[in-house]
Amino acid sequence: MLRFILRRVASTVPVLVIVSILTFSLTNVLGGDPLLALMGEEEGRLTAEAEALMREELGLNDPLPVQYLNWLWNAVQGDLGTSIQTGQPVTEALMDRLPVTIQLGAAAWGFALVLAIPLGMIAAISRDTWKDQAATAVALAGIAMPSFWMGLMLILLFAVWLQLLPPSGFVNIWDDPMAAARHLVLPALTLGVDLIGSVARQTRSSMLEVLGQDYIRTARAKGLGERIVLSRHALRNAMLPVVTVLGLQFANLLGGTVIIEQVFAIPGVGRLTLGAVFAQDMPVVQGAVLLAAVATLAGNLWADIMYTVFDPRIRVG
Amino acid sequence: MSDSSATLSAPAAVAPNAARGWARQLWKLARQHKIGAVAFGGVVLICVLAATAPIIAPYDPLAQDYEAMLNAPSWEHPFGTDRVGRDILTRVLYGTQVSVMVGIVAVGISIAIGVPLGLLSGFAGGAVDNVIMRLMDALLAFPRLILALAIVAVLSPGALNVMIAVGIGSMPVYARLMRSQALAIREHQYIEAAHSLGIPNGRIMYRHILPNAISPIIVQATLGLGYAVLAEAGLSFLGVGVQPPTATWGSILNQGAPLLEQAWWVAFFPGVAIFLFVLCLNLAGDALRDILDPRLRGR
Repeated sequence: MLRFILRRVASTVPVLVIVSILTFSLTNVLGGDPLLALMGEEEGRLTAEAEALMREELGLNDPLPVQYLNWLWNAVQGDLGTSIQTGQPVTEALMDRLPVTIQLGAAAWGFALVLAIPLGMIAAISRDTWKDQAATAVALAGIAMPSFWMGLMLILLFAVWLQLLPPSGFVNIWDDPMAAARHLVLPALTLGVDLIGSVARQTRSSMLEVLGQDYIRTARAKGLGERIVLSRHALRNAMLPVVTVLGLQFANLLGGTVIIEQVFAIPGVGRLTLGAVFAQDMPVVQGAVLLAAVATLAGNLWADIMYTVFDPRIRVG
Repeated sequence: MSDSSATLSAPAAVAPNAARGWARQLWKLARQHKIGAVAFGGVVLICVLAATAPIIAPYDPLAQDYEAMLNAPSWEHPFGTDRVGRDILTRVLYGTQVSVMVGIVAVGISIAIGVPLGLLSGFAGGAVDNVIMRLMDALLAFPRLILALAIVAVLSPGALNVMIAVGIGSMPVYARLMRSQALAIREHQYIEAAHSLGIPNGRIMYRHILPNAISPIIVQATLGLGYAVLAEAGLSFLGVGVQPPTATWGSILNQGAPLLEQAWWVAFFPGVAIFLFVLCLNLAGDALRDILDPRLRGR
């Protein structure tokens, strides 16, 4: 098992290197003058001597590969530069907001698992009945619905008209768990809606495949109750592709936080990123993009490791 | 040589009543896939509405009417008006043009870059495959919306840059799909036969592998268009997409969000338009996949 994990981690390293090159290139090559990106409008006020000195000090006269290696060396040590807007170190700004985004993402993930897997199971068990059609319709609607629109409609219904839940804002779960939960319900449901659709469809599809297998017929033939057949024999085997979807959807979930945090005024990494885009605060944009990519790779790695938990044949193979 | 080549290509049987045969086959498919047919009809209808917006829209999309500000839906303004009195129905109709166009071009960019890369990767194998696929893996590691945001931040907001950003973000999906198809097809006997006849690799890729791998690309493009429309709407909603005063579904929603308590209709109707269009595209894509790959039917 450990050997499998180490091998899988090692295979991520080249991808991580390319990710770092792309992130560096995004602002330092495509983005034009890095000094302008770093100084913002203040660059125009620099004298020619001061500008030349800054370029020398920042290593901007070095060849691009050298600049990249310096940037990577700093990034590996946790130094992603300084925000032009606030002067705060980018790593610190990201770490300040990361717990907020993690709480939101975890709640969305929880919603998806609790709602989508039973939904997919019901659809598969009652194939071609109204239950299947209703569950499939819910799943399809979840995928097609723009999350930000759904968020606005949920605010309208539950916060403005029914006044049951707060329309926006964030409370840390460690400060006041009840208030935190009330503030998280709408954004987490909104963020998770796409995931609910994808996971429900995948659960239905894999359950249908598994339910047609010989071992399910055998389990039924030897007199096992339907509940045990479904939970112990079918669901466990049907979970493998579902885990894949959960891993692959991790990137979408992260991307979705940018929009959802904006809709619900949640001070997370997504909102920080959007603010940085508007302010052309390229060090923050670069840091946020790198963080998102590393988190996605970690999510994919998690999915691969979970494979081995559900199906030992993979680590043997 | 010409004789040998002829044996490789499919016989071109031209029936006199080919058009009628096509129509009959389409009707049969539509009856077999009723939901898909309705969804495809929905996509066509929305595209027709977009194309005819200048004719059927009741007002000018930019005309402001300060005596009709934030009017609720009525016979005069079926979708209501916004804060400067512009007719929402008109803006949604015109917005359809821009949203659909941005989506189509973005998918076109993804296909134009992703398909040749995937084809080359799958056909060449070895180091070329490794380099291209690691690059695609790295691109897939970036959440598409965040990558699009970063690209727009670098290139500045606007319709063209949104198309590029969304297109590049989705490109690895097509590259991977094309590669998997190319890997499977290159093992077929007719490819071996083409090699033994001395047909150049480039010709084998474009004349023999690409046409046989195109079905899943078409299905993915249908589903991808839905994603591209959602992505454009998301970027415009955030204010970094297509810029005002041009109406797109996302930008109308952006203007409607702060007015939610006073005028729900400004944000409601463009969202319904996005939802219906993406739903129709997804259902049509699913039906198309069922038709082109019957093994997946009902999954």
